[in-house]
Amino acid sequence: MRVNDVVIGSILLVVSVSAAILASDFPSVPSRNFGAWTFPTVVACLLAASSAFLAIQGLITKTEPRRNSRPSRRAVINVLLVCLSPLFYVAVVPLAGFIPGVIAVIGTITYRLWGGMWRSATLAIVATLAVDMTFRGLLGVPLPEGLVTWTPW
Amino acid sequence: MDIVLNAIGLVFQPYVLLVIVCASLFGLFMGAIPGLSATMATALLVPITFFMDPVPALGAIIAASAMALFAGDIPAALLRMPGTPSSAAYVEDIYAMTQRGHAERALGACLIFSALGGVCGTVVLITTAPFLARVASNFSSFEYFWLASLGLTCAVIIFAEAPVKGFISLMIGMMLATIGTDITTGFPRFTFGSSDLAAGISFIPALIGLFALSEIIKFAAVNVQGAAIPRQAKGELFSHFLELARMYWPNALRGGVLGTVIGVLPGAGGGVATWISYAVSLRFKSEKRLKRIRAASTDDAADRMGGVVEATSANNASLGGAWVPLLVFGIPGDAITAIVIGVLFLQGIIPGPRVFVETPDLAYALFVVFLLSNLLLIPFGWVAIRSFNLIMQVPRPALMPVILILALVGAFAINNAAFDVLIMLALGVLAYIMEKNGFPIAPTVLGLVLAPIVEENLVVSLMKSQGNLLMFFERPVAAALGSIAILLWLMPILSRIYKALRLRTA
Repeated sequence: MRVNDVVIGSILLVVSVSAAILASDFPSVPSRNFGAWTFPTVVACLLAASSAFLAIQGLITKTEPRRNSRPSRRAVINVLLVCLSPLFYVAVVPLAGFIPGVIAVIGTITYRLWGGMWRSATLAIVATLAVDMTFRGLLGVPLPEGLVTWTPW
Repeated sequence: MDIVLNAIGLVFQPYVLLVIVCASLFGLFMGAIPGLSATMATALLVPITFFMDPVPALGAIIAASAMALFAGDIPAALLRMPGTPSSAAYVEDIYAMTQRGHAERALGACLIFSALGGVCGTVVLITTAPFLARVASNFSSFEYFWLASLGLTCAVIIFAEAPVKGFISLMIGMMLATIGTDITTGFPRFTFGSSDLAAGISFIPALIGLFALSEIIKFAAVNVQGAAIPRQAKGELFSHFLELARMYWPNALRGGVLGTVIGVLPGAGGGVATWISYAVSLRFKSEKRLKRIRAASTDDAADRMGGVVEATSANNASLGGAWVPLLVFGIPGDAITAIVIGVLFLQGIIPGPRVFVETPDLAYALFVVFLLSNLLLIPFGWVAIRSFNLIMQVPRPALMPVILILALVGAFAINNAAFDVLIMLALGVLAYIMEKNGFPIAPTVLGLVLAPIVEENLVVSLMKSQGNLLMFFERPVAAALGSIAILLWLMPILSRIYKALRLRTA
C-alpha cells in the first residue's frame, strides 16, 4: 500500500480544504469573534499547507519506481480477512454468540496465516475459551451471547 | 511520612501485587516478540484495567511498559530483531556479541543497566514531581496553552528525518480530535448527523487500532516466520556485572540522566532517548578510557559495551521521566503516557498538579510501583532470558489472531459499543497506510491527546483576554514558554536564512 507523496499530499489537501469549508459554518461564541470554528479551521489550514508542501516536494523529488512491490494475492486476501473481522464481530457475533463467532474468526485467520486445519481449530477453541473466561468470567464484561448462552464460568 | 506509608500499604496488597506480576509477565512476553511494542502492550492492557481500581490499573501499565522496554533487547540480541523500537539503536552491537557466543553477557548488561536506568528515572520523578506540582498549581490557562503547544512542537521536532510527514501525522491526530461536540457552543462538529460521533473519537479504541490492528494488518500482508535461535554459552548472565559496572559506570550514569531528561520532554520517549544516548556515547567516548577498558576486559566486545550500557540505561530511565509532565501538568511525555491519560480519565482522575493535593496516596503509590517494577525487572528479566527459547517457539502466525480478538473485545468492552470497533478498524487501516508511506504514528496519538487541551486552554484564554493575543505573553512563565514555542516554530526558517547567509559570505 505504498503511494506516491504527490497522491497522498493531494488527497490530504482535498480533505483539509473540505474540513475548513465545513468548519466555516460552525458558530461563534455569542458576541465574540471566535468559537466552534476557530480551532478546526486553524488545524485544517495547517494540514492543507503541509499537504500542499508534501505534494510539491513529491513532484520535485522524483523517486525511482519500486520493483516487485505489488502484493501477492495471498497477502491481499489475508489483509482483507483481518480488516473484515471487526465488521464480522459487529454484525455476526451478536447474533451467533461470542464463542462460535470468535472461534470462526480465529480459526479462519489462523488457517490463512499458519495453515493446518486441526491446529487452527484447536487454537481457535482454546484461545476463544481463554478470552471468554478472562473477559466474561473474571472481568464481568457482558460479551454477546447470541445463540449460545452457556459458558462454563 | 503517613502518605508514603499509606502508599506502600496501597501497593503491597495481594491483589495489587498479583496484578503487577501478571502485567509484568504480559509486558515481558509482548516486548520479547518482535514487532509487538511496549506501546501495544499498554494499549491492549487498557480495556482490562478499566475494571480495576486506580492503583492496580496504573500499576499494571507501569509494570508492563517497564518490562516490555527491556524485553525488546532479547530478540534484538538473539535474532537481530529488536522487540521494541527502543532496542533498535544498539541491536547491531548486542547481536555481534551473540555471534561470538556472548549473548548472556550482553543481555545481562542490558537487564542490570535497564533496571538501574529505571531507578534513576524513578528517583527524578519522585524528587521533582511534587516540587513541580506546587509550581504548576499557580499556572493559568495561558501557561497550559503554551505547554501543550510546546508538547505538539516537540512531537514534530523529534521526527527530524521526516518533519513534514511528522507534522502531517500530528495534524491528522488533531483533526480527528476536533470531531464531536464543541465544548464552548455545544455544536456538533464533523459528525454528519451521527449520534455515535457526537461524543467524539473514543480514545482507547483509537489507540488499539493505531497500535495493535495496524501491526496485525502489517503482519498479514507479509507473514514473516521467525528465524532460528543461535546456540549460546551459559553462565555469563550476571557473572560480569561487577566488571561492567567498574568499566562503564560513567556511561550508565550519563544514559540514566539523559534518558530521564529526554523522557521529560513532551513528544519524546524511549526510542528517542536510546538513539540520542547511543549517539552521545559514540561522540564522547574517550580513547584513553577505551585503552584502559581494552586492557582490563576479558573479551573483544569492550568497545561496543559503552554504547549498549548507555542506551539501555536511557531506555528505561525515559519511562520515569515521561511521567513527570503527565503527573505534574497533565501533558503526556510519550505514546505510553498518552495512553495513561486515557486510563486516568477512565478512572475519574484528572491528571495535573491537583493529583498531589486531592489524591496524594495515589501519586506516591505510583512512585512505589515504579521502584518495585524496576526491581522486579531483574528476577523477571532473568526468567525471560532463560525461557526465551520457549517464548520464541510461540509462532507469530498463531499469536496474531489471538491479539486480533483481544483488540476487538478490548475496543468493544470500554463502552459496550459496536461503533468503537469500527473506529478501531478505521484507525488501524489509517495507521497501516501511514506507516507504509513513512508517516510516524506517535504524533497522531499526541495530536489526539493534546488537541483538546490546546483548544480548551486557547478558548478559555481568549475569553479571559477578550481576544487580546498580547495577554498570552503577560505572565512571566507564559511569556517564557510562548517565546520558546515560537522560536521552535521559526527555527526551520531561521536555520535556512542562517545557511543562506553563510553560503553568501563563504
